[in-house]
Amino acid sequence: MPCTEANVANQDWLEEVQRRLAESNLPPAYIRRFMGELADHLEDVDEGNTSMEADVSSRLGDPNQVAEAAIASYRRRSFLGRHPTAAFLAFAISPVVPGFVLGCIVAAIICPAVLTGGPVASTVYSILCIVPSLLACCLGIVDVSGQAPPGVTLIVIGIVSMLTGLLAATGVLSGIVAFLYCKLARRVGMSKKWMLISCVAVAVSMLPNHYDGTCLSLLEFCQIVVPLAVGWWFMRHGRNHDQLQLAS
Amino acid sequence: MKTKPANTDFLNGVPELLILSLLSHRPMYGYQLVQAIRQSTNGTLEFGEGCVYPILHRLEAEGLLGSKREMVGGRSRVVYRINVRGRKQLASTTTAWQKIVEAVSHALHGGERGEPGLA
Repeated sequence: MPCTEANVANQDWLEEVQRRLAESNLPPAYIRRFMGELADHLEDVDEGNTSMEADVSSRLGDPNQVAEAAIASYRRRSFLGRHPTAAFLAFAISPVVPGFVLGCIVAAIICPAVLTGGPVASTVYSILCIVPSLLACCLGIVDVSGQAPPGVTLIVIGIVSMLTGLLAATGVLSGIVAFLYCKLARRVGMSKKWMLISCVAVAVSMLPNHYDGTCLSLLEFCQIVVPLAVGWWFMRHGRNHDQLQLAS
Repeated sequence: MKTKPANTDFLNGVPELLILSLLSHRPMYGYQLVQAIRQSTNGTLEFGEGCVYPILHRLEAEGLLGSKREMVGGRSRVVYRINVRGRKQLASTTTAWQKIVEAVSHALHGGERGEPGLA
């Protein structure tokens, strides 16, 4: 086989392996390392080729099977990868817990009526209100000598308090939870469906307790959409990243 | 297109045993290791060469091997080395393997019932 033809065949083989790995949601760093070693191996094969076998697939194996071996091997490293039940508990069930807690916190912020519901909600609300004030004291914005703070300081505290509440209410926290689950799924090499399941679980757990199937408010809508958007972004980002790698 | 079987479990646990054994003699990179397996088994074990890397990575993740990118013959290669844990694992796996070989051999040659063996 002529040299250039062999190079093209090698490149096609490598791209096929990489395409399959890209679909699997393995960490990009691992894919880079694996592909680097395969490329090194092909270089050595080309150099040491004594016309035993010209076809790259004959030597290195079918690209899909090689990729499958890498995926299976990587997943077997982690407990979650080895035990489907543990993966189900981790990615489908456990996101409901932080989602539910966040839902309660957000409800306490945007629905003051909840405050009458008990001491826990009151405490959470108080802490969230105190944080911006403490921050203002630490930054020296507030005069702690007992004098009334100037009007500008009150405005700053008001804005910070409002932003804190808005961040929580518009689903930033639920987005962070979804982000962490997506990162975990990628780290242990779980398939993309588990990322999506986690994000859906977080989103569903953010549904208001009193939800009766009618229209949601804008803030409630954001709480549900943000985790789903995070999941979608992770799936898209992985694909784009791998396309860039192939192009280079 | 003719391809070699690329299943890493072509013999359950055997690739790992061979790799640990070969690396116990000297550090090697992937291509060298594949050549060493071929030579040491007289080409009996046929497998897709690309499948050696997932096994190496798993052994490394299990803490049995170490790896480092080094210059070898003017080229940068990932060189694998067995470590203390790997040597212990190799010793225990070798013992287990020898017992299995003896047991299977015993069974194939008639076993305790004195029935005729395959050979």
